[in-house]
Amino acid sequence: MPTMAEELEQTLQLCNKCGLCLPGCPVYRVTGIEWTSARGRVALLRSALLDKRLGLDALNDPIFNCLTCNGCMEHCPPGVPTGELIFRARQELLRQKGQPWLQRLLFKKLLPDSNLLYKASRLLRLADVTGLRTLARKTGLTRLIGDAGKAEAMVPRVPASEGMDAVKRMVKKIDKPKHRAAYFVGCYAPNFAPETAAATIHVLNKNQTEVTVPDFVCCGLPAAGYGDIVSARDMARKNIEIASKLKIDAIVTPCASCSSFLKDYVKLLADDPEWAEKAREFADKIRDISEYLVQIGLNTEMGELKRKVTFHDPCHLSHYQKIKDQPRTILKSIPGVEFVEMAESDMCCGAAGSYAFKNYDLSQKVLERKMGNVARTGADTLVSSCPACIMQLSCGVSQQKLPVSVLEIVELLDEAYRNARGND
Amino acid sequence: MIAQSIIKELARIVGKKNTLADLKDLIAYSYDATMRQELPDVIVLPQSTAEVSAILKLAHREKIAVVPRGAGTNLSGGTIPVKGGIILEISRMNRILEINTADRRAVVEPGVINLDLQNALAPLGYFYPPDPASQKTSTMGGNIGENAGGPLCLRYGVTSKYVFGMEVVLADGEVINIGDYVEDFPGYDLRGLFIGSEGMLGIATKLTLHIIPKPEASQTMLAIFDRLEDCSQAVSDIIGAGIVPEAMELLDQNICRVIEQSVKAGYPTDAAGILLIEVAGLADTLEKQVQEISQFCQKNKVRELRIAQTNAERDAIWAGRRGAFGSVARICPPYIVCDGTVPRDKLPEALHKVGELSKQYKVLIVNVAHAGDGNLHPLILFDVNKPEEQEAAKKAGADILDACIAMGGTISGEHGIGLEKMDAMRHMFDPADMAAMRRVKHVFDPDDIFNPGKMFPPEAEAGLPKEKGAAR
Amino acid sequence: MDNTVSQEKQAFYQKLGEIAGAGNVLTGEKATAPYNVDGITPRAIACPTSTEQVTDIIKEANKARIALVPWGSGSKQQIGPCLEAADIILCLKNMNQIVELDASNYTVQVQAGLVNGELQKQLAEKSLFFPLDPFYMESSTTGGEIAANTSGPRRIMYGTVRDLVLGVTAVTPTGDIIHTGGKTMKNVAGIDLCRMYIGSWGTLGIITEAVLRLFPLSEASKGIYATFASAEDAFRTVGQLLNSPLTPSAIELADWIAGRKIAEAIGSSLNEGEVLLIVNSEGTNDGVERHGKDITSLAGANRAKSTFALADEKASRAWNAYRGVHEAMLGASPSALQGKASVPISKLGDMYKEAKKIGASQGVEIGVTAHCGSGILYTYLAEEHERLVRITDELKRAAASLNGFFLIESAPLSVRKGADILPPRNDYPLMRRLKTEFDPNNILNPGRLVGGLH
Repeated sequence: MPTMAEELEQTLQLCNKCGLCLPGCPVYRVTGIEWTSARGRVALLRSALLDKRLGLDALNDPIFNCLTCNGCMEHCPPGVPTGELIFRARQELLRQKGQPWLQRLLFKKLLPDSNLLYKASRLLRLADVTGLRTLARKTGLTRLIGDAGKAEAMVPRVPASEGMDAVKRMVKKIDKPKHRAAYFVGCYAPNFAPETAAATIHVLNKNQTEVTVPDFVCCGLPAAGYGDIVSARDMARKNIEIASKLKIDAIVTPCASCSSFLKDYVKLLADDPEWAEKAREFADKIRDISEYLVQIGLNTEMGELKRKVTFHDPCHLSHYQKIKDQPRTILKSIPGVEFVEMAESDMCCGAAGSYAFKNYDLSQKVLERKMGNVARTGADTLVSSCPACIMQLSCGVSQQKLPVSVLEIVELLDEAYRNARGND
Repeated sequence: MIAQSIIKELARIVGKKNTLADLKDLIAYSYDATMRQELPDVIVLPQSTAEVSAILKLAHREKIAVVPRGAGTNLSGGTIPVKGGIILEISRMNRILEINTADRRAVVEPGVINLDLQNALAPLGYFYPPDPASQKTSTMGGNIGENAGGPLCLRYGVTSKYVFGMEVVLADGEVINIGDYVEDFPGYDLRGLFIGSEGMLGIATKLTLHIIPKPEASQTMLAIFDRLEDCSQAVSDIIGAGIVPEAMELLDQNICRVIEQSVKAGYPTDAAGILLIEVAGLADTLEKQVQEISQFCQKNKVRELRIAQTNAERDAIWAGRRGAFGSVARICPPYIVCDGTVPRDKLPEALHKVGELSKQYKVLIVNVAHAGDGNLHPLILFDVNKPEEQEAAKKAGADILDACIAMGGTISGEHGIGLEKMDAMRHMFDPADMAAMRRVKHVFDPDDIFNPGKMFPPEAEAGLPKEKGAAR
Repeated sequence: MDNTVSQEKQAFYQKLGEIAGAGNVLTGEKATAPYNVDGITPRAIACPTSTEQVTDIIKEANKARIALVPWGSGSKQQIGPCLEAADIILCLKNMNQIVELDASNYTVQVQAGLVNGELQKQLAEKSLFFPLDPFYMESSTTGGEIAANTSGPRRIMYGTVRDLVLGVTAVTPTGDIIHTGGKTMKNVAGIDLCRMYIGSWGTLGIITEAVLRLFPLSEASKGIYATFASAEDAFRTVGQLLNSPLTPSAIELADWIAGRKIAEAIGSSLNEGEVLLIVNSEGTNDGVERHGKDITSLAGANRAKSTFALADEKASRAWNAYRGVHEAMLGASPSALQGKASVPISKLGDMYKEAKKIGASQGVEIGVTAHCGSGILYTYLAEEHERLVRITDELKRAAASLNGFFLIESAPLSVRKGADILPPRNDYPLMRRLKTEFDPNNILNPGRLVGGLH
């Protein structure tokens, strides 16, 4: 068994410290501190693993306050996979320190079971409906749990919802479907934003796609993000198993983080001889919603939307999957839409999943930079394609009091289709 | 090692969050884009001139070294704290304070990134000519410290032409203004001394830059040659005829091969040398220039001359050149890059010499050069796990610099001396020259607070003439 | 103690002939009178012919505390504060050779005493030129121009002295020969001492050689001469010109006092209050063609009264007439004063207005020329002492209010003696330390340092 140092030695030595990654790193941009950049984080990992100058446990912040947005990789000439190194380091830290009970609960119990997850979300709804959550916030109780307490305010009021059952009921049969797709719903939509699920199904239907909603579990990214690669792999195997029984052309999701990680199942299970090939077959079917629609040929029979629209590229869409053109193609084909490109459109918004819960201030600073760019476009509509981004951007817009609506791309498309004459 | 009490005092000046002293912080600031590493004692990130001044007052009182630092992308060891001390990181002082196109001036804080400045000027139809390869990351303060160059210097000149004034904090914390917003300021050219002084005379906290309108149009070409001699002779002929392209970059076969592995620029991998030539100016004058250049290329047996017809083609041609160093890093992260410069017509001879040394020391050397200025960039590759290869690479580099001196050139065209070329200073300057430089350093910084241990080989310090000037 | 000093100095004067080389020392009233500087007549004029002789002179002068005045052609000996002493003039006129002309690399190494005009003649034979063109370049030496940091109209296209000198060989006041810079355009090795010597007004060392940056003679050139009824229109034209991708080789303005004769020479006229704008372009045929067209239409769009496009003979004549204005205005009277204002480029029009207002309020004619692309404005007037002092004070205030400065470049001694050359700046102490470091005995041009030594 190679040690971690041996495993990563060659990769770590790829970095020649040219520093070209610095401007691509949102955290470096807002802090100006060297070790928040890819170059810095790699140098510290090198110091710990190869030079043995300090322990990995002395690098908690460098390992955990990386957004893993992969913005650095756009600029890195030798292609140092900093994000992967960070993920690997988190796994090692987890192994060394053990897993906190909350993470165990989340990754081993709740996320792999959409029913349990739904129930947990109802508990939070209860706290909302009874006013307990607001009370905890107002009395400063939430501040007791540090950054998580501050970030809590970003999570919107939990809506009434019937979870995956409700989503399944949204499925309609359509006349003469040309395609058949499984809708990977994810963890957020059924519990916090059922309207996104409705929009997704409607948009797919409008594009001659018959939709099924299998009982997929969480894609596994949150677990991997905290170093729990074991749980991530468990969830991956579950999803691959479920998909293997389906007769579909594609597995579609409007969540960029999900589509990205689902495609990464190939890497995740590469060393598992039993699952490697299945993972590859699975990954080949994964499509982000924009990717899917452009690939099959977008239905352009839409009504007019008079909006000035700009797009924020989710990191998992642009940096990870290199999908940048398709969302723009879609937005530009909506009649009445004036599309305006934002500066640094592909710079992370600071959401990075649950990043804000551990690094609230940094998350806010990165968001502030993004909001400046949004404001300068003069747009009235900010579109993105990932629930975490949408949550973060909505917070930002409200904090800065910008007259901007924040929408998922499926929601905007849905609106356009509904506006068409003679619509159902 | 500096006392905790000093670190606390620094924290009172810039704030605790902006004072970094954990081991991980020290390691992160121990390096730049070269291979050396030395730990500082503490890092501070000030946000105002007043804070910088207070830091220097403290450092001066306690006689602690201060190393000014921008983004740490320099290629000469300029920001490596060889005597420990305080790293004064200016990345937070990054505001563009004023752009006045009617005066042709921009006033910026030193932490502004070169490319960010360009992007702010572009919509106004202006630009700041010095465009070092690091411009995406490097700061204006860093650019001034090294008197940075770049391909466009061929036509427009170097950094020293584009910096008119500065606010500077001296070693004892005194804040002065050197140069001016307006031209022809009388008195000694302290700003000229400061530019390229590699952080050894003081730290600039505000910069008044010269900006100019963008050219009306430009035309980019790629000239492909079967022999390196023909390629470099073409450079000589073109410049010799009085044509001043905006850029003239030479790339040899080895580096083209390396580039094409990473950046699909469309460079040929079987040509001994290629020239990236860009002419710029009034649209109606370009056609003729292109024709003349074409003729000179023909005269030198050019295999093929590609003229970019669209913006995309132009961008692709440049992407290869700008990705050169990076592409080398992909196949061989550690390399020594030389920066020797020779009079332009010695370029063929210099490249030939580089080839000879490559064979002699058995190291692979790939070449890119700002051919129009005679500024070579041989990249000498070696395996970081083979110390004897690194030694051979170092020796080859030293010999290349000696050759440049012998041809009437200089040991550094744009990267600076820092640590990397300290030894070579002896070959280029005689004791009287170095003593004079040391005197200037002594005038600005008698206690050697700023970036000690750089530029001058150790024995130069002993050579400081005894008859010093009157104390302040 | 006067006697001791005298003895050492006497010894020096006796040795001087030996050190400087036979026949290289001029003494006696007739010889030294033309070298009177700031009211002081020097004891002798030494004209060495080699750097070694210069070094020997300086070393001995240092020992004897002799005040040395570096001298090229003496064109700019009135700049800056007055000298405290001037024992020996160290004239470099005899060191006037081209050391190395590297035509294919566009560099020339010259001895400092080579007159600029003479250099240009020799360069022209190789179809080259050196773009430094101060108004009196026919007589000034390259070394002098470097020490005085004097540039001319071509600065807008080619840069100033600081951008055109690649290297300087100098002898320090303590007798060390130092080589600064080199032959290459890009050179960042070490501290840039070359820049230190440029504009040092002879106070940090004697420049004995310099490496200069050359350019090929242009294929074509043209001058657009436009008259305007109001200076405002002319300055607006300049603003638009500067905001365009055009690259003229000179943008000069002369008011009706300075420009009258030039206007007449080209078949136009300048009435009171009107100004003449001269815009030159040089380069390729098509480039010059395009410049001519665009500049002419710019002038027209800004209500130019008349516009002439001149080339070849006609252009040379008019241009030389303009260049001659400077000498003419200075030579017109012993009470002539010439000053230079440097203000932000966009404020040059305002400075012009101020100069005219000051003249009007004092009832004095102030002639004006300007390097419009650089924010530099020259004022010429001839008056009695009191008025000159008052007017220069006003001009200083006006320039300062525009965030610039005003400097007296030439004036009657009585005015210069009393004047504060420049307002104090916070980098003067550093300059003083630099001076003291290199010239501990204060032998080179004592008193000339801007801001003074104390």
